[in-house]
Amino acid sequence: MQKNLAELAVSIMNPCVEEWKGQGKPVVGYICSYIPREVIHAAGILPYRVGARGCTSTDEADVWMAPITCSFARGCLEMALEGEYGFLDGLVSMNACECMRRMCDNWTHQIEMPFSYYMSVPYKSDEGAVDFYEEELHLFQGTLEKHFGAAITDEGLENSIRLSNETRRLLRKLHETRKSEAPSLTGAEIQKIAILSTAMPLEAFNPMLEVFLEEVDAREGTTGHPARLMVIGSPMDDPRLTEIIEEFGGLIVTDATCFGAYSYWDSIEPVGDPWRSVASYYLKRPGCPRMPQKSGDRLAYIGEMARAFDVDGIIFERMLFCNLWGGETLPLDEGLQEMDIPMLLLDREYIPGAIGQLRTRLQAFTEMIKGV
Amino acid sequence: MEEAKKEVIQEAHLMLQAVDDDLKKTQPERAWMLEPMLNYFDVLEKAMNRKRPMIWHFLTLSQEPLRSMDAAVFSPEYAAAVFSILGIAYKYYDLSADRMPEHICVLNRFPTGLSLSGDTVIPDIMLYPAANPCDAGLISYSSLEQHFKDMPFFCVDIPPNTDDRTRRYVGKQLREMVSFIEEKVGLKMDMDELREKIRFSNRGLEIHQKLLEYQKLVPCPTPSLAHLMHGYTNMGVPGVPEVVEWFDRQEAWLTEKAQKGEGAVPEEKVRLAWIANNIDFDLSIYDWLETEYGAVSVACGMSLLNTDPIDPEAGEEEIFEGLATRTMTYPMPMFGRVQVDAYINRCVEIVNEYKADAIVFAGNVGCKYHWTTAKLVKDRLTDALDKPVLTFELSPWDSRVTSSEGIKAKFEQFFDAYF
Repeated sequence: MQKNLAELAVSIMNPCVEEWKGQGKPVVGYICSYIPREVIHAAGILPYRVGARGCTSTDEADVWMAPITCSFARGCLEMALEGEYGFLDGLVSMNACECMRRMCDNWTHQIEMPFSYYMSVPYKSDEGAVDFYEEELHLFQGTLEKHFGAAITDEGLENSIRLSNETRRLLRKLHETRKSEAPSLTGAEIQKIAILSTAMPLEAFNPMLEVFLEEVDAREGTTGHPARLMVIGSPMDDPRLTEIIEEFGGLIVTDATCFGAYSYWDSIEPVGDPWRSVASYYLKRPGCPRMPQKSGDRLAYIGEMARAFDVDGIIFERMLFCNLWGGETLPLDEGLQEMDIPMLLLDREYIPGAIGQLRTRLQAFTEMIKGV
Repeated sequence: MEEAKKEVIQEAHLMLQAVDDDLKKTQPERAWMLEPMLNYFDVLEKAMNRKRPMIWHFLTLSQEPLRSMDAAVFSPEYAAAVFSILGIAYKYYDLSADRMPEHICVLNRFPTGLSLSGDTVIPDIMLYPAANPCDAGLISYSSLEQHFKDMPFFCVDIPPNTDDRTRRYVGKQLREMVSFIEEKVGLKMDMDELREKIRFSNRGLEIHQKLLEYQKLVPCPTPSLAHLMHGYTNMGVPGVPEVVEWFDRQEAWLTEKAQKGEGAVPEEKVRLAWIANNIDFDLSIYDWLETEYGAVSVACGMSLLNTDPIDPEAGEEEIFEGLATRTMTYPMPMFGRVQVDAYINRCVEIVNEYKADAIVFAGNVGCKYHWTTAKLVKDRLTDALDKPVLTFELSPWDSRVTSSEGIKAKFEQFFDAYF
């Protein structure tokens, strides 16, 4: 299994989940990155972040969701309708973006879920919002405990926090290897590993990643990439686009995406009460434009990342019909110009298409930033 | 307030007055129609002339506290609807398209286009709610916040539920918003003034509720356009005394019609319930439906406001919680902010309460929350109600998406098939 660490994440189901289910233990899917996986884990449940990787068409989902809506959301629904998520014992959704939350409405109307919870997540991150979210976490706790017959203790939650913080630490360590002038991993490889961390038990993931990190140390890096790139924008839980960018554009050395660095760049800081620590972390960490008044923070994060990883240019991949990333274009455009960082805007559907056009644009961008 | 190259608010006001003058000459029976919009611009322009600080706010935020601070209160979304009626909104939609994708609702692109145009004063502060009802409303202001770095912005956090704890939370947010305005703009809120504004908005809603009851009558005495204007007025111009006077006159007129059993049209044939959006760019379509098909729009979701009063004598906290409830239960948030079951259940109630024969799902292409569940909604309503549903795409404020002719063709086919 170790050799295939990166390959485990290319499909929804993987052997680690199969093994977990084989032991009679429950798995709960969650949408999206603001749901605290630690709370689910502390109930003895495997939290599994829902995505659409491997999706090759959205024919069934398109019946329910119009084509003028986000194709990532449609992809997730497609996978659910095709039975790819048949292993889930429950679904936790939230007021994420409107396409994802209404996708969940479609999902739960088409497929009867044994457990379903809709979490009310604040949009702000001040102390009042943290209070509200902490209260919400306790409501969620009660519902989860009641349905699954589990007790979530403070100690149990603290253990779950330690475990996921360790995952974050290891992922950061892996990510940091890309600072090298000759990185030994591609962006696609690292992306797959980060995705896997949301789709398998961390008790198994962390030791596997530690071994992998040792292997990485021994690897010889590669040079001669046309450019060092950063990817920002919509959810990327499928390595296909990354592979295309790396084939035609350059090496991706860092990112600002919710399945990527956003999910591990900060750790949960213990502030006494573990519930408050969790609530605070999920609202305050770097995140997508679903959180208003944070464009400045996002730009600062992107700027720091771009400098730290010696980035030549940024690929802003923007899912078609995403209001949030669509609206974020204005501050990103202006902010990156101020920072003098070149940006290529790629409007895209979840399933990569028009590869020829994409290749031309990527090659032209690379030539432009390298002054060829 | 910074001076503008030209003042489009003033221009729109003058245009509206000209249209109103013409309406009074050509259709005196419609003399009432544009009055609240004129009131809106009258109040706004007077405040601008007195150099009062300019507040831009997203439409679904409570206005009573802002009006009690004697500010120049301006909602770009309300203005977009008026500008689209006047045919002068396109420039601002197109200006915004350089900065954000065109799939985003034009109502939400309008503040960007307008603020970047130089055609009006740059406000002293901008206020907006988080996703109440949609992401586009949130991001349109959030993105401007980075552009206008020196301008204060306040976001009112509105989580998705409408329970007591959320109401308390949003009430606190609204109170914080007032403190923020006081701190950043130097305005002061006077509680007595706020109570007075609430008395006015209560009265407008009280009449609104009575008028809604009339719409349940068969035949419905209220012309479709009057129904639309009642909703737009209470949503767009609450707390303004002139508007209460207008509502008093509407009440007198429609009470008389109701008592006489007089319908909006000589022979009411079809009662329509609009459960998604309306058509603002061409209001004559409602007349066309009435005259061509005897089809009266008895319930337009956008005009079905929560009419529960707020006790003006209550303590400050309770008043702000009441305002929070209103904010969270404006028509659009009640459709878009909530989970789809709540929306569907509300639609079923609407169709039953207003005895509708057919359902119109005129879905704004920019409303992602509508188009992610349009089929689910249609299926569930068909199962629950056994009424025909007409579904079509449009932009309520941009005729370039679906033209008037295109919309009429949809209705023609629909009526041919079912009536």
